[in-house]
Amino acid sequence: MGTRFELVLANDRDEHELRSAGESALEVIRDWHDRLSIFDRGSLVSRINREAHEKPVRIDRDMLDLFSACERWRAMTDGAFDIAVGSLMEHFGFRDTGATENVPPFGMDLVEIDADAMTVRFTEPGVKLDFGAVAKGWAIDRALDVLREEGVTSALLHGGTSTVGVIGSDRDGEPWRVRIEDDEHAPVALLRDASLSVSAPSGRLNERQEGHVIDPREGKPSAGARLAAVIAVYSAETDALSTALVVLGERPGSIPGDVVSILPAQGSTPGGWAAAGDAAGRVIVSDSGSDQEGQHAS
Amino acid sequence: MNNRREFLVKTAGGLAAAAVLPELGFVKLPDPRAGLRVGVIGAGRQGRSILGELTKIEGAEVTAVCDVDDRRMEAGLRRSAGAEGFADVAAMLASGKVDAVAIAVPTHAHPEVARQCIEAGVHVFLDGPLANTVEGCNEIVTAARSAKGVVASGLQGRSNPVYKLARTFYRSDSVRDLVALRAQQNQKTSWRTPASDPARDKALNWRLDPEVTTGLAGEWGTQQFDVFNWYTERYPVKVSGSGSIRLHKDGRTVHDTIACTLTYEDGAVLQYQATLANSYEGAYEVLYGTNAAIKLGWSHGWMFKESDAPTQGWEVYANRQQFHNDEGITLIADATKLASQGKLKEGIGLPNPSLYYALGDFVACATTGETPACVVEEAARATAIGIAAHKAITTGTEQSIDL
Repeated sequence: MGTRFELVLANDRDEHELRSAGESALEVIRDWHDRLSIFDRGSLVSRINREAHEKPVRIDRDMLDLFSACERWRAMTDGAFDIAVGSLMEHFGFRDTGATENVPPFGMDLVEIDADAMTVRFTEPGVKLDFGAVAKGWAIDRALDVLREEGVTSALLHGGTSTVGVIGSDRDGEPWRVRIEDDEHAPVALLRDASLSVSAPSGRLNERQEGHVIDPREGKPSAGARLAAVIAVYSAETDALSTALVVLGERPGSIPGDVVSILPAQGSTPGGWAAAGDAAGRVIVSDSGSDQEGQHAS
Repeated sequence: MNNRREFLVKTAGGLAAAAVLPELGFVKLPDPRAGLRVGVIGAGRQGRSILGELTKIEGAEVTAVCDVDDRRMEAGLRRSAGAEGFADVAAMLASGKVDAVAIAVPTHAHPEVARQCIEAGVHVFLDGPLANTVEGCNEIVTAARSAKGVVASGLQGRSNPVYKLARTFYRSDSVRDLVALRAQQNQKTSWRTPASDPARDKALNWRLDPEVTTGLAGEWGTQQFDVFNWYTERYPVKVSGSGSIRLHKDGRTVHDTIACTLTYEDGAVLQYQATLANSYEGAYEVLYGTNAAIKLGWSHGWMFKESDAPTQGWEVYANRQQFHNDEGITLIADATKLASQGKLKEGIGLPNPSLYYALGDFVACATTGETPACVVEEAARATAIGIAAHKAITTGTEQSIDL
């Protein structure tokens, strides 16, 4: 997935037991990297991108679950989240292949998932999947599952600092505190058995200084929010929805109330933030220097 | 080495073979419609890797997953598209749902499971070392001689495209006379699978059980010893070594760090080391010759020429990588073609792990009836070397290797 994952295990348990549990969790992340990486020619996704227009490509139950979840988030965000934007990422010069001249076909409307036959097929040549907006979160969820199975009750795992999932509380019994931006006035997420993702187009820019978050509805780099953060139970959900919120620029009514979103406040002073959803006790938003939990919850 | 001169005479211009080897890429069976139904026995980490690689191979369909551990079986089934789960090997074989099996159970269980499968008449792929004892190896070799199907070993070097290409160089005059051999495998990992109760712990952590394990020399070394056996077509005759616990002081008695010296009849030496305490440079094998050294890193291969070695022309077009003071020529098939396509980047390697090519070879042979890249007789020899090395390390006494 082209990024670094770090794991903190804070349990009061035998160090050797924790090490082996941590190794198993990181092994799961490597395994998902091997399947989802678009940079690895041998990955399943690379194979799908290479062959799925010519013939249906087999997938396993794990992958079917991932496709199903992605389709749920696509529907929830009215198409602002879409994994079939790989061709656009290339077109706009966000991949090593370099920018392409003509706008290629894109979007999940051109992808057929056959849940009975367990296959995926593209209806047009040139379509490409790119799980970059959800892969880290999905892998973190599966790794945290392994840690829970092994009895770990306190852990923090992040991928590239943009998505973090935690088990339980920190070693002092307090929620894990994660600031959403490298700015002392930025909101702080309070995580207990929860996840946080932050998306920002400026994380990577192409030669035209366009951000790497694609608006799948328009087929071009997003002109929405400069940053979006989401807190929810699962990392895959926060990963996908934070990307969608960057595209949308505002929170749609279709997102469930237990999902907390944090966006730059419209019309407020620079540095203002608006948290929405059941934010009480889950985020500290500070505009004036005095922190207040869930100050902007709505 | 004696046979190599003869080989050179028979393969004049052998280096040109590099340009005509099949393109590296993806396994395609002669008849993908054949649909070999494969059952995977053992759904631990390696079993799940096998499941993942089988999914990529056209013509192979995973129809069954077998594991005595419920959690592992479920994890294995999730890596398949509609396979049936079995807790018992006999029940899986009796179901009529498999034409072939890939066995990824603990090494000490290989003989019994392999015998059952061979007797059932299915094609058998046996992962890793053949067994944990010489007697176990012999049992499998004997059973394989009367097998109706293909019996393939999962020692992966022999089916790895980079290794096959590099071997053509080794068998030509590029390396010339063998000077020495060296290999290592370094990974920083505990080798321990988390387990909540003692019974499960014993079952899952068999590699740390001194009663059944062959340690790092057997579990890891065997794969690498086979590479040297295959390249040199010779076998070491004695081994000495030592081991210790450098990092994982968790009550284990099985060494986490070992080193051993394997000696050939003419005095040539293979130095091997492995550790669970440091990951520097990972796994590789080096064959030092009087004209060049070949370094093999599973997904990559390089040749380092001596300054007085004759120039053979093709090097001019080769991709190169700098290693401190040495320049390595990247050994990859179709290098010229890939360069013309702009795909030849520094250090380009295989698109798939070695396991994929070993399984692809097995599936192809099971479909066509051809002989697999690594037959069990060769696997038995490599395994016996690993067992002897483990014994030398644990007892501190030199062991003769009688193959």
